[in-house]
Amino acid sequence: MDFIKNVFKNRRLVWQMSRNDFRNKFSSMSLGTLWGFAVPLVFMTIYYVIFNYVLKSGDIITPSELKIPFIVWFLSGFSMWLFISDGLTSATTSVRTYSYLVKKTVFNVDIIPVFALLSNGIVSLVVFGIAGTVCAVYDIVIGIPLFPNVLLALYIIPAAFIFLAALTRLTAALATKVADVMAVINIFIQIIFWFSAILWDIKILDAKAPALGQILRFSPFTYLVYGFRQAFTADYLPIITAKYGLYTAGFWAITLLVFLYGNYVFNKNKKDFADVL
Amino acid sequence: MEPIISVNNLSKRYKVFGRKKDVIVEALFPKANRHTLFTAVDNMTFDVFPGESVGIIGCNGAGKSTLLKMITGVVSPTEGSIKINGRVSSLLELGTAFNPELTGIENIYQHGQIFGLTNDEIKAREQEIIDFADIGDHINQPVKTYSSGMFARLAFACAINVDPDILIVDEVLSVGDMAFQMKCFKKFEQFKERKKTILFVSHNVNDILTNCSRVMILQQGKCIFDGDA
Repeated sequence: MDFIKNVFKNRRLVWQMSRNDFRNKFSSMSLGTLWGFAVPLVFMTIYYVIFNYVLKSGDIITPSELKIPFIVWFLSGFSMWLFISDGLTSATTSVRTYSYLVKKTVFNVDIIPVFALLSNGIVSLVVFGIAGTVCAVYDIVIGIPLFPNVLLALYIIPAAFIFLAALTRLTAALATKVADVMAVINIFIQIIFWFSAILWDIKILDAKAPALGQILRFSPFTYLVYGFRQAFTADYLPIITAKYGLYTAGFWAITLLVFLYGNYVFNKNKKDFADVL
Repeated sequence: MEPIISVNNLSKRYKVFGRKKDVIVEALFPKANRHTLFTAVDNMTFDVFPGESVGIIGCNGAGKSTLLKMITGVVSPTEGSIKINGRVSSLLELGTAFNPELTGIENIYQHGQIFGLTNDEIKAREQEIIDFADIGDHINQPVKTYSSGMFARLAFACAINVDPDILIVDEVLSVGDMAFQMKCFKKFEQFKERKKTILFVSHNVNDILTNCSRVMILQQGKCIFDGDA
């Protein structure tokens, strides 16, 4: 609880540091923050072209025979994955990146992963905005009703942020103590990418490997990806209300456990940060 | 008089690992013991009173920087305790919390924000800091392009402008030119008159004798002399 109090008490500093962080990342490049937005958009385009035209993923058919264009399916899920992978990477390395704040001055290290995550969120919000707009336009053209599902976005984006704040408290502490953790995180991000049903529909598993399908539905990453996706694919019963909210309860239970453990590891190790950096 | 810094049986031992692998082994298995200890500060006890300016000398590796880092609060002691009654501003290991990618001005703001100042308060001090640092147009360039002297000038100007009760200066002046050093020592005098405390590390014995009221000599983590300068 000290962590939450700390972040709240220092919210002005958190906000200023995240703005500084955002500007720093691109300050040495002539085109500056433009790159922050260009990189994810280029990635999206490449994946879309490959999967739509080369691998011919095609439309997704919903239970009531509605055709969801692949681009809607893909952009909504992929933008959430970008938020998760970029946030996880930058917040995990943040204490190392900001070693001068740990070693040269008395700084509240609790807030370092938080402002790294927030700074990353600035780009992600724009990506969410662009992906969301494209999806909404497609929905309107095809005639898929936007409301009320589109309101899911207002719940799932803050939920993703809270989950990542909890998770990166753990990973940032570990990566600061042992640099190898960063390599593990990179592998982990690849695993999330392929197992969170970003480019395929989790229903495929129900026929071939139902157990795996069920387990993956309880993964917080799948939950977040589907949560944002279903804001634009009205036909589905959203994952957050499916099975009387079982997946939602699972998501918050996992988030709480990760937070409690991450908090324990971070607090236990933070006094050593200055020694190991 | 109440001491402003009170150090009691203070020790700092760093873990030293022979191989990089040992770090992981210890992290994964709490009971594994693969390190040896290096004692940087060994059972030190002393008080510092308001208005004192303490010069600290000793060879490289004597524990000066570790001691100052613990007093600042950056490094936590292995044993013992430190009591501080006031705001500390420090220049540790030739520098301060500057982001090398940001310009001088931006760093002035970030430094102030870290110390809890509002942007208005920083704006009020900005000109004073720029004047004291006196590095001309470089103030608008990224700090990574600075010479070590310019870096030290800006760091010192920032450190004294957050109105500390205790100023900790670790060797930073040695990279400044004569004119700047004189300017800093003049600032020390003003500090002393206002009953503020200074901890000052230098390898220049003359600077310590002329500017400090008390000298501590450190050797292998122990204080082997503590008395009037």
